[in-house]
Amino acid sequence: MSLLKIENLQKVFRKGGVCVAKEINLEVNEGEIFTLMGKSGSGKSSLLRMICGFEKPDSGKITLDGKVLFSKDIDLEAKERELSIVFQNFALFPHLSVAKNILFGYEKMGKERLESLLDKTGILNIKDSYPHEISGGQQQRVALCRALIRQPKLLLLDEPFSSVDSELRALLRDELKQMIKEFNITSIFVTHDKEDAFYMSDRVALMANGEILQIGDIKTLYENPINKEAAGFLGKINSIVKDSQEILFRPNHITISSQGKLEATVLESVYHGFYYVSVLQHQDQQITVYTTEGLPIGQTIRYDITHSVLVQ
Amino acid sequence: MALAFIVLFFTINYKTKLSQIAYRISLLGYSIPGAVIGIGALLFFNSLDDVIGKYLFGGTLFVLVFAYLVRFYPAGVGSLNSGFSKVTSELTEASKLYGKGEFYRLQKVYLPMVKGAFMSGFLIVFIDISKELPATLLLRPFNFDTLATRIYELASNEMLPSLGIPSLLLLSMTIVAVLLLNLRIFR
Repeated sequence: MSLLKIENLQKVFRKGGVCVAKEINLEVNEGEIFTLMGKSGSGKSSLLRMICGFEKPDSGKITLDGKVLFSKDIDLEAKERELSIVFQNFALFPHLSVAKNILFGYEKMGKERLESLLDKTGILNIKDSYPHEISGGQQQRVALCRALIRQPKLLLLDEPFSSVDSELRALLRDELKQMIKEFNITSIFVTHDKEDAFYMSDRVALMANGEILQIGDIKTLYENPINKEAAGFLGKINSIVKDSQEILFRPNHITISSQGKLEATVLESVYHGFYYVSVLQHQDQQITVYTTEGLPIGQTIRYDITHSVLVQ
Repeated sequence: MALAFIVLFFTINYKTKLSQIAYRISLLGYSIPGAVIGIGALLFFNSLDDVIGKYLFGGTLFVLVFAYLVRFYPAGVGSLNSGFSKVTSELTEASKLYGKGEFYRLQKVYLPMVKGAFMSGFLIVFIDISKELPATLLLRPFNFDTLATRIYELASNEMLPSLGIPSLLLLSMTIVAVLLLNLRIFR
Protein backbone atom coordinates (compact mmCIF):
# COMPACT_ATOMS: atom_id res chain seq x y z
CA MET A 1 0.00 0.00 0.00
CA SER A 2 1.37 3.38 -0.97
CA LEU A 3 2.19 5.75 1.91
CA LEU A 4 3.81 8.66 0.09
CA LYS A 5 2.58 9.76 -3.29
CA ILE A 6 4.27 12.41 -5.41
CA GLU A 7 2.46 13.62 -8.52
CA ASN A 8 3.85 15.82 -11.29
CA LEU A 9 6.26 17.62 -8.99
CA GLN A 10 8.07 20.47 -10.66
CA LYS A 11 10.71 22.85 -9.37
CA VAL A 12 13.03 25.29 -11.13
CA PHE A 13 15.44 27.36 -9.07
CA ARG A 14 15.12 31.02 -9.87
CA LYS A 15 18.87 31.53 -9.56
CA GLY A 16 20.44 30.01 -12.67
CA GLY A 17 17.17 28.49 -13.88
CA VAL A 18 18.25 24.98 -12.84
CA CYS A 19 15.43 22.45 -12.98
CA VAL A 20 15.74 20.15 -9.96
CA ALA A 21 12.41 18.37 -10.42
CA LYS A 22 10.90 17.62 -13.81
CA GLU A 23 7.38 16.18 -13.57
CA ILE A 24 8.33 13.73 -10.83
CA ASN A 25 5.88 10.93 -10.11
CA LEU A 26 6.58 8.26 -7.55
CA GLU A 27 5.00 6.22 -4.79
CA VAL A 28 6.65 4.89 -1.66
CA ASN A 29 5.06 1.83 -0.13
CA GLU A 30 4.43 1.34 3.56
CA GLY A 31 7.34 -0.28 5.41
CA GLU A 32 9.87 -0.14 2.58
CA ILE A 33 13.25 1.56 2.32
CA PHE A 34 13.06 3.57 -0.87
CA THR A 35 16.34 4.94 -2.19
CA LEU A 36 16.81 8.07 -4.27
CA MET A 37 20.08 7.60 -6.08
CA GLY A 38 21.92 10.03 -8.29
CA LYS A 39 25.07 12.05 -8.73
CA SER A 40 25.44 15.40 -6.98
CA GLY A 41 23.20 17.96 -8.64
CA SER A 42 20.75 15.32 -9.86
CA GLY A 43 17.97 16.75 -7.68
CA LYS A 44 17.69 13.96 -5.11
CA SER A 45 18.36 16.15 -2.07
CA SER A 46 16.10 18.88 -3.43
CA LEU A 47 13.32 16.33 -3.78
CA LEU A 48 13.86 15.29 -0.16
CA ARG A 49 13.75 18.94 0.92
CA MET A 50 10.49 19.43 -0.96
CA ILE A 51 8.96 16.40 0.75
CA CYS A 52 10.14 17.78 4.07
CA GLY A 53 8.80 21.28 3.44
CA PHE A 54 12.13 23.10 3.41
CA GLU A 55 11.82 23.86 -0.30
CA LYS A 56 8.62 24.91 -2.02
CA PRO A 57 7.84 23.15 -5.32
CA ASP A 58 6.53 25.20 -8.24
CA SER A 59 3.70 22.77 -8.88
CA GLY A 60 2.55 19.22 -8.23
CA LYS A 61 1.16 17.37 -5.27
CA ILE A 62 2.67 15.52 -2.30
CA THR A 63 0.45 13.26 -0.20
CA LEU A 64 1.47 11.34 2.92
CA ASP A 65 -0.91 8.67 4.17
CA GLY A 66 -3.83 10.45 2.50
CA LYS A 67 -2.93 13.85 3.97
CA VAL A 68 -1.97 16.50 1.42
CA LEU A 69 1.37 18.05 2.36
CA PHE A 70 1.66 20.19 -0.74
CA SER A 71 -0.65 21.09 -3.56
CA LYS A 72 -1.76 24.20 -5.41
CA ASP A 73 -3.60 25.51 -2.32
CA ILE A 74 -1.85 23.72 0.52
CA ASP A 75 1.71 24.03 1.79
CA LEU A 76 2.10 22.58 5.26
CA GLU A 77 4.99 23.72 7.45
CA ALA A 78 7.77 21.18 8.03
CA LYS A 79 6.72 20.47 11.63
CA GLU A 80 3.13 19.71 10.58
CA ARG A 81 4.10 17.05 8.06
CA GLU A 82 4.47 14.10 10.47
CA LEU A 83 7.85 13.13 9.11
CA SER A 84 11.39 13.21 10.43
CA ILE A 85 14.78 13.55 8.86
CA VAL A 86 18.31 12.37 9.64
CA PHE A 87 20.58 15.04 8.19
CA GLN A 88 23.85 14.55 6.34
CA ASN A 89 25.96 15.63 9.33
CA PHE A 90 23.29 14.56 11.81
CA ALA A 91 22.67 18.24 12.80
CA LEU A 92 22.77 17.64 16.54
CA PHE A 93 22.59 20.79 18.65
CA PRO A 94 26.12 21.12 20.08
CA HIS A 95 25.03 22.87 23.29
CA LEU A 96 22.43 20.26 24.23
CA SER A 97 23.00 16.87 25.82
CA VAL A 98 22.02 13.66 24.00
CA ALA A 99 18.73 13.42 25.92
CA LYS A 100 17.89 17.08 25.29
CA ASN A 101 18.74 16.74 21.61
CA ILE A 102 16.33 13.82 21.29
CA LEU A 103 13.59 15.58 23.25
CA PHE A 104 14.04 18.90 21.40
CA GLY A 105 10.55 20.31 20.85
CA TYR A 106 8.99 17.17 22.29
CA GLU A 107 9.87 17.48 25.98
CA LYS A 108 6.52 16.57 27.54
CA MET A 109 5.35 13.85 25.17
CA GLY A 110 8.73 12.23 24.63
CA LYS A 111 9.90 11.64 28.20
CA GLU A 112 8.07 8.32 28.52
CA ARG A 113 9.52 6.94 25.29
CA LEU A 114 13.03 8.30 25.78
CA GLU A 115 14.40 5.61 28.12
CA SER A 116 13.10 2.69 26.05
CA LEU A 117 14.33 4.26 22.80
CA LEU A 118 17.79 4.93 24.25
CA ASP A 119 17.86 1.39 25.59
CA LYS A 120 16.81 -0.16 22.26
CA THR A 121 19.46 1.79 20.37
CA GLY A 122 22.14 1.09 22.98
CA ILE A 123 22.93 4.66 23.96
CA LEU A 124 21.32 4.84 27.39
CA ASN A 125 24.76 5.28 28.98
CA ILE A 126 25.53 8.47 27.04
CA LYS A 127 22.25 10.31 27.54
CA ASP A 128 23.94 13.12 29.50
CA SER A 129 26.92 13.46 27.14
CA TYR A 130 27.25 16.21 24.55
CA PRO A 131 27.54 15.54 20.79
CA HIS A 132 31.26 16.39 20.68
CA GLU A 133 31.94 13.80 23.39
CA ILE A 134 30.48 10.83 21.48
CA SER A 135 31.55 8.83 18.41
CA GLY A 136 30.18 9.14 14.85
CA GLY A 137 28.18 5.94 15.26
CA GLN A 138 26.65 7.16 18.50
CA GLN A 139 25.84 10.51 16.89
CA GLN A 140 23.98 8.68 14.15
CA ARG A 141 21.96 6.77 16.73
CA VAL A 142 21.13 10.00 18.57
CA ALA A 143 19.98 11.58 15.30
CA LEU A 144 17.88 8.51 14.57
CA CYS A 145 16.36 8.55 18.07
CA ARG A 146 15.49 12.24 17.65
CA ALA A 147 13.77 11.36 14.40
CA LEU A 148 11.97 8.31 15.79
CA ILE A 149 10.74 9.63 19.13
CA ARG A 150 7.99 11.53 17.34
CA GLN A 151 6.77 8.30 15.77
CA PRO A 152 6.80 9.82 12.28
CA LYS A 153 4.97 8.24 9.38
CA LEU A 154 7.99 8.68 7.15
CA LEU A 155 11.70 8.83 7.88
CA LEU A 156 13.97 10.72 5.49
CA LEU A 157 17.70 9.99 5.43
CA ASP A 158 19.82 12.53 3.60
CA GLU A 159 23.16 10.86 2.80
CA PRO A 160 23.77 10.00 6.46
CA PHE A 161 27.10 8.28 5.73
CA SER A 162 28.66 10.97 3.57
CA SER A 163 30.97 12.37 6.25
CA VAL A 164 32.39 9.09 7.59
CA ASP A 165 35.22 6.86 6.42
CA SER A 166 34.55 3.59 4.58
CA GLU A 167 35.09 1.32 7.60
CA LEU A 168 32.68 3.23 9.82
CA ARG A 169 30.34 3.60 6.87
CA ALA A 170 29.82 -0.16 6.64
CA LEU A 171 29.20 -0.39 10.38
CA LEU A 172 26.74 2.53 10.41
CA ARG A 173 24.94 1.10 7.39
CA ASP A 174 24.43 -2.23 9.16
CA GLU A 175 23.17 -0.54 12.31
CA LEU A 176 20.86 1.83 10.50
CA LYS A 177 19.21 -0.83 8.38
CA GLN A 178 18.76 -3.06 11.40
CA MET A 179 17.12 -0.24 13.38
CA ILE A 180 14.86 0.88 10.54
CA LYS A 181 13.63 -2.68 10.07
CA GLU A 182 13.23 -3.14 13.82
CA PHE A 183 11.10 -0.01 14.13
CA ASN A 184 9.34 -0.93 10.89
CA ILE A 185 9.32 2.61 9.59
CA THR A 186 8.89 3.66 5.97
CA SER A 187 12.05 5.44 4.86
CA ILE A 188 13.43 7.41 1.96
CA PHE A 189 17.18 7.13 1.74
CA VAL A 190 19.21 9.52 -0.39
CA THR A 191 22.63 8.46 -1.63
CA HIS A 192 25.09 8.71 -4.49
CA ASP A 193 26.89 5.55 -3.37
CA LYS A 194 25.98 2.30 -5.13
CA GLU A 195 27.10 0.14 -2.20
CA ASP A 196 24.73 2.02 0.11
CA ALA A 197 21.96 1.56 -2.45
CA PHE A 198 22.63 -2.18 -2.81
CA TYR A 199 22.69 -2.73 0.93
CA MET A 200 19.87 -0.51 2.13
CA SER A 201 17.18 -0.49 -0.54
CA ASP A 202 13.97 -2.36 -1.13
CA ARG A 203 13.39 -0.20 -4.21
CA VAL A 204 15.49 2.46 -5.91
CA ALA A 205 14.74 5.50 -8.06
CA LEU A 206 17.61 6.58 -10.29
CA MET A 207 17.72 10.36 -10.73
CA ALA A 208 19.56 12.59 -13.19
CA ASN A 209 19.03 16.25 -14.06
CA GLY A 210 15.87 16.47 -11.97
CA GLU A 211 14.29 13.48 -13.69
CA ILE A 212 13.59 9.96 -12.54
CA LEU A 213 15.19 7.61 -15.05
CA GLN A 214 13.95 4.32 -13.63
CA ILE A 215 12.32 2.90 -10.53
CA GLY A 216 12.59 -0.72 -9.47
CA ASP A 217 14.21 -3.21 -7.17
CA ILE A 218 17.98 -3.11 -7.16
CA LYS A 219 18.42 -6.40 -9.08
CA THR A 220 16.17 -5.23 -11.90
CA LEU A 221 18.04 -1.94 -12.14
CA TYR A 222 21.39 -3.72 -12.16
CA GLU A 223 20.49 -6.38 -14.68
CA ASN A 224 17.88 -4.63 -16.82
CA PRO A 225 18.51 -0.90 -16.85
CA ILE A 226 16.28 1.18 -19.07
CA ASN A 227 19.14 2.92 -20.90
CA LYS A 228 22.90 3.42 -20.94
CA GLU A 229 22.76 6.27 -18.41
CA ALA A 230 20.75 4.17 -15.95
CA ALA A 231 23.10 1.24 -16.53
CA GLY A 232 26.07 3.32 -15.41
CA PHE A 233 24.55 4.13 -12.00
CA LEU A 234 24.99 0.77 -10.31
CA GLY A 235 28.41 -0.23 -11.51
CA LYS A 236 30.85 -0.59 -14.34
CA ILE A 237 29.36 -1.27 -17.75
CA ASN A 238 31.12 -2.55 -20.89
CA SER A 239 30.09 -1.72 -24.39
CA ILE A 240 31.01 -3.65 -27.55
CA VAL A 241 29.66 -3.49 -31.08
CA LYS A 242 28.61 -6.76 -32.70
CA ASP A 243 26.65 -7.08 -35.94
CA SER A 244 26.11 -3.28 -35.92
CA GLN A 245 24.44 -3.53 -32.51
CA GLU A 246 25.81 -2.04 -29.31
CA ILE A 247 25.83 -4.62 -26.53
CA LEU A 248 26.13 -3.46 -22.91
CA PHE A 249 27.15 -5.93 -20.25
CA ARG A 250 28.49 -6.00 -16.69
CA PRO A 251 32.10 -7.11 -15.98
CA ASN A 252 30.83 -10.22 -14.14
CA HIS A 253 28.54 -11.29 -16.98
CA ILE A 254 31.09 -13.18 -19.09
CA THR A 255 32.54 -16.70 -19.20
CA ILE A 256 35.98 -17.45 -20.54
CA SER A 257 36.36 -20.67 -22.52
CA SER A 258 38.20 -21.93 -25.56
CA GLN A 259 34.82 -22.33 -27.32
CA GLY A 260 33.85 -18.68 -26.73
CA LYS A 261 32.42 -16.79 -29.70
CA LEU A 262 34.23 -13.53 -28.96
CA GLU A 263 37.94 -12.80 -28.89
CA ALA A 264 40.04 -10.29 -26.94
CA THR A 265 43.62 -9.65 -25.84
CA VAL A 266 44.44 -9.39 -22.12
CA LEU A 267 46.03 -6.03 -21.31
CA GLU A 268 46.01 -6.21 -17.54
CA SER A 269 44.92 -8.57 -14.77
CA VAL A 270 45.00 -7.29 -11.19
CA TYR A 271 44.43 -9.34 -8.03
CA HIS A 272 41.68 -7.89 -5.80
CA GLY A 273 41.55 -10.45 -3.00
CA PHE A 274 38.78 -12.87 -3.94
CA TYR A 275 38.58 -11.88 -7.62
CA TYR A 276 40.65 -10.46 -10.49
CA VAL A 277 39.92 -7.29 -12.41
CA SER A 278 41.17 -7.64 -15.96
CA VAL A 279 41.22 -5.21 -18.86
CA LEU A 280 40.75 -6.73 -22.32
CA GLN A 281 41.16 -5.26 -25.78
CA HIS A 282 38.14 -6.22 -27.91
CA GLN A 283 38.63 -4.86 -31.45
CA ASP A 284 39.01 -1.10 -30.87
CA GLN A 285 37.32 -1.12 -27.45
CA GLN A 286 38.63 -1.87 -23.98
CA ILE A 287 36.43 -3.86 -21.62
CA THR A 288 36.74 -4.70 -17.94
CA VAL A 289 35.93 -8.15 -16.64
CA TYR A 290 35.83 -9.76 -13.19
CA THR A 291 37.09 -13.32 -13.00
CA THR A 292 37.96 -15.76 -10.23
CA GLU A 293 41.31 -16.62 -11.90
CA GLY A 294 43.93 -14.25 -13.25
CA LEU A 295 44.24 -13.97 -17.05
CA PRO A 296 47.53 -14.28 -19.00
CA ILE A 297 48.68 -10.78 -19.94
CA GLY A 298 49.38 -10.27 -23.65
CA GLN A 299 47.57 -13.43 -24.74
CA THR A 300 44.37 -13.75 -26.72
CA ILE A 301 41.43 -15.38 -24.99
CA ARG A 302 37.93 -16.40 -26.11
CA TYR A 303 34.83 -15.49 -24.14
CA ASP A 304 31.03 -15.34 -24.18
CA ILE A 305 28.64 -12.77 -22.73
CA THR A 306 26.27 -14.58 -20.37
CA HIS A 307 23.87 -11.69 -19.86
CA SER A 308 23.66 -8.42 -21.74
CA VAL A 309 21.92 -5.66 -19.78
CA LEU A 310 20.99 -3.72 -22.89
CA VAL A 311 21.19 -4.13 -26.64
CA GLN A 312 20.68 -1.03 -28.75
CA MET B 1 23.20 44.40 20.44
CA ALA B 2 19.66 43.20 21.09
CA LEU B 3 18.48 44.97 17.95
CA ALA B 4 21.35 43.48 15.94
CA PHE B 5 20.43 40.03 17.27
CA ILE B 6 16.77 40.34 16.32
CA VAL B 7 17.55 41.80 12.88
CA LEU B 8 20.07 39.04 12.14
CA PHE B 9 17.70 36.31 13.33
CA PHE B 10 14.98 37.46 10.97
CA THR B 11 17.36 38.28 8.10
CA ILE B 12 18.77 34.76 8.23
CA ASN B 13 15.45 32.98 8.70
CA TYR B 14 13.35 35.04 6.31
CA LYS B 15 15.56 35.85 3.36
CA THR B 16 13.76 38.30 1.11
CA LYS B 17 15.26 40.91 -1.19
CA LEU B 18 13.88 43.69 1.00
CA SER B 19 15.35 42.24 4.20
CA GLN B 20 18.74 41.83 2.51
CA ILE B 21 18.71 45.44 1.21
CA ALA B 22 17.64 46.79 4.63
CA TYR B 23 20.39 44.73 6.25
CA ARG B 24 23.05 46.11 3.88
CA ILE B 25 21.90 49.72 4.36
CA SER B 26 21.96 49.31 8.13
CA LEU B 27 25.67 48.45 7.92
CA LEU B 28 26.58 51.78 6.31
CA GLY B 29 26.80 53.56 9.69
CA TYR B 30 30.26 52.27 10.51
CA SER B 31 31.76 53.82 7.39
CA ILE B 32 30.29 57.27 8.04
CA PRO B 33 32.30 59.61 10.32
CA GLY B 34 30.80 60.31 13.75
CA ALA B 35 30.58 64.04 13.05
CA VAL B 36 28.48 63.44 9.93
CA ILE B 37 26.15 61.12 11.83
CA GLY B 38 25.98 63.69 14.64
CA ILE B 39 24.97 66.52 12.29
CA GLY B 40 22.54 64.23 10.48
CA ALA B 41 20.86 63.21 13.74
CA LEU B 42 20.76 66.86 14.88
CA LEU B 43 19.07 68.01 11.65
CA PHE B 44 16.66 65.08 11.58
CA PHE B 45 15.42 65.44 15.16
CA ASN B 46 15.27 69.24 14.97
CA SER B 47 13.06 68.93 11.86
CA LEU B 48 10.97 66.34 13.70
CA ASP B 49 10.52 68.76 16.61
CA ASP B 50 9.44 71.43 14.10
CA VAL B 51 6.86 69.10 12.61
CA ILE B 52 5.51 68.08 16.03
CA GLY B 53 5.57 71.70 17.18
CA LYS B 54 7.15 70.77 20.51
CA TYR B 55 10.73 70.68 21.74
CA LEU B 56 10.68 66.93 22.32
CA PHE B 57 13.93 65.41 21.04
CA GLY B 58 16.46 68.21 20.53
CA GLY B 59 19.24 68.22 23.14
CA THR B 60 18.07 65.01 24.80
CA LEU B 61 20.02 61.84 25.52
CA PHE B 62 17.72 60.00 23.11
CA VAL B 63 19.34 61.71 20.09
CA LEU B 64 22.80 60.73 21.30
CA VAL B 65 21.72 57.13 21.85
CA PHE B 66 20.17 57.10 18.36
CA ALA B 67 23.45 58.35 16.85
CA TYR B 68 25.38 55.66 18.74
CA LEU B 69 22.95 53.08 17.40
CA VAL B 70 23.47 54.18 13.80
CA ARG B 71 27.22 54.40 14.23
CA PHE B 72 27.93 51.21 16.20
CA TYR B 73 25.13 48.88 15.20
CA PRO B 74 27.32 47.42 12.38
CA ALA B 75 30.04 46.59 14.93
CA GLY B 76 27.48 44.58 16.89
CA VAL B 77 26.25 42.87 13.74
CA GLY B 78 29.82 41.98 12.77
CA SER B 79 30.42 40.20 16.08
CA LEU B 80 27.06 38.48 16.05
CA ASN B 81 27.54 37.27 12.50
CA SER B 82 30.38 34.99 13.60
CA GLY B 83 28.06 33.55 16.26
CA PHE B 84 25.20 33.05 13.81
CA SER B 85 27.53 31.25 11.40
CA LYS B 86 27.75 28.44 13.99
CA VAL B 87 24.05 27.81 13.44
CA THR B 88 24.39 25.92 10.14
CA SER B 89 21.54 25.61 7.66
CA GLU B 90 21.03 21.99 8.79
CA LEU B 91 20.69 23.08 12.43
CA THR B 92 18.23 25.76 11.36
CA GLU B 93 16.20 23.20 9.42
CA ALA B 94 16.34 20.72 12.30
CA SER B 95 15.09 23.41 14.66
CA LYS B 96 12.28 24.29 12.23
CA LEU B 97 11.24 20.67 11.86
CA TYR B 98 11.47 19.61 15.48
CA GLY B 99 10.94 22.94 17.28
CA LYS B 100 7.74 24.58 18.42
CA GLY B 101 7.91 27.95 16.66
CA GLU B 102 10.03 31.07 16.39
CA PHE B 103 10.28 31.93 20.08
CA TYR B 104 11.19 28.37 21.00
CA ARG B 105 13.95 28.30 18.36
CA LEU B 106 15.22 31.68 19.48
CA GLN B 107 15.32 30.59 23.10
CA LYS B 108 16.62 27.01 22.66
CA VAL B 109 18.98 27.30 19.70
CA TYR B 110 19.98 30.81 18.74
CA LEU B 111 20.43 32.47 22.15
CA PRO B 112 22.58 29.70 23.66
CA MET B 113 24.65 29.25 20.50
CA VAL B 114 25.19 32.96 19.89
CA LYS B 115 25.67 33.86 23.58
CA GLY B 116 29.49 34.16 23.38
CA ALA B 117 29.39 36.29 20.23
CA PHE B 118 26.67 38.43 21.79
CA MET B 119 28.79 39.14 24.86
CA SER B 120 31.95 39.85 22.89
CA GLY B 121 29.96 42.12 20.56
CA PHE B 122 28.63 43.94 23.61
CA LEU B 123 32.19 44.55 24.84
CA ILE B 124 33.40 45.74 21.42
CA VAL B 125 30.50 48.19 21.14
CA PHE B 126 31.11 49.28 24.74
CA ILE B 127 34.77 50.07 23.97
CA ASP B 128 33.82 51.89 20.77
CA ILE B 129 31.16 54.00 22.49
CA SER B 130 33.35 54.89 25.44
CA LYS B 131 35.97 56.28 23.01
CA GLU B 132 33.55 58.03 20.66
CA LEU B 133 34.04 61.80 20.53
CA PRO B 134 32.66 63.79 17.53
CA ALA B 135 29.00 62.71 17.71
CA THR B 136 29.04 62.88 21.52
CA LEU B 137 30.42 66.43 21.49
CA LEU B 138 27.71 67.50 19.04
CA LEU B 139 24.73 65.77 20.59
CA ARG B 140 25.28 65.39 24.34
CA PRO B 141 22.77 67.16 26.58
CA PHE B 142 23.90 70.02 28.82
CA ASN B 143 25.96 68.93 31.82
CA PHE B 144 26.41 65.48 30.36
CA ASP B 145 29.93 64.17 29.95
CA THR B 146 31.44 60.89 28.87
CA LEU B 147 35.01 59.98 29.79
CA ALA B 148 36.09 60.84 26.24
CA THR B 149 34.48 64.29 26.24
CA ARG B 150 35.85 65.00 29.70
CA ILE B 151 39.38 64.07 28.61
CA TYR B 152 38.96 66.18 25.46
CA GLU B 153 37.83 69.20 27.48
CA LEU B 154 40.62 68.88 30.01
CA ALA B 155 43.20 68.45 27.26
CA SER B 156 41.85 71.47 25.34
CA ASN B 157 42.19 73.56 28.50
CA GLU B 158 45.67 72.16 29.12
CA MET B 159 44.62 70.93 32.59
CA LEU B 160 47.17 68.16 32.43
CA PRO B 161 47.25 67.10 36.12
CA SER B 162 43.45 66.58 36.12
CA LEU B 163 43.65 64.69 32.84
CA GLY B 164 45.48 61.70 34.32
CA ILE B 165 42.70 59.97 36.23
CA PRO B 166 39.98 59.97 33.51
CA SER B 167 42.59 58.96 30.90
CA LEU B 168 43.83 56.07 33.02
CA LEU B 169 40.25 55.08 33.77
CA LEU B 170 39.40 54.92 30.05
CA LEU B 171 42.57 53.01 29.35
CA SER B 172 41.98 50.49 32.13
CA MET B 173 38.35 50.00 31.05
CA THR B 174 39.57 49.17 27.56
CA ILE B 175 42.26 46.82 28.88
CA VAL B 176 39.75 44.98 31.06
CA ALA B 177 37.40 44.68 28.11
CA VAL B 178 40.16 43.28 25.89
CA LEU B 179 41.17 40.80 28.62
CA LEU B 180 37.55 39.71 29.00
CA LEU B 181 37.30 39.16 25.25
CA ASN B 182 40.01 36.53 25.55
CA LEU B 183 38.03 34.49 28.06
CA ARG B 184 36.46 31.29 26.70
CA ILE B 185 32.93 32.38 27.56
CA PHE B 186 33.18 35.28 25.10
CA ARG B 187 34.26 33.08 22.19
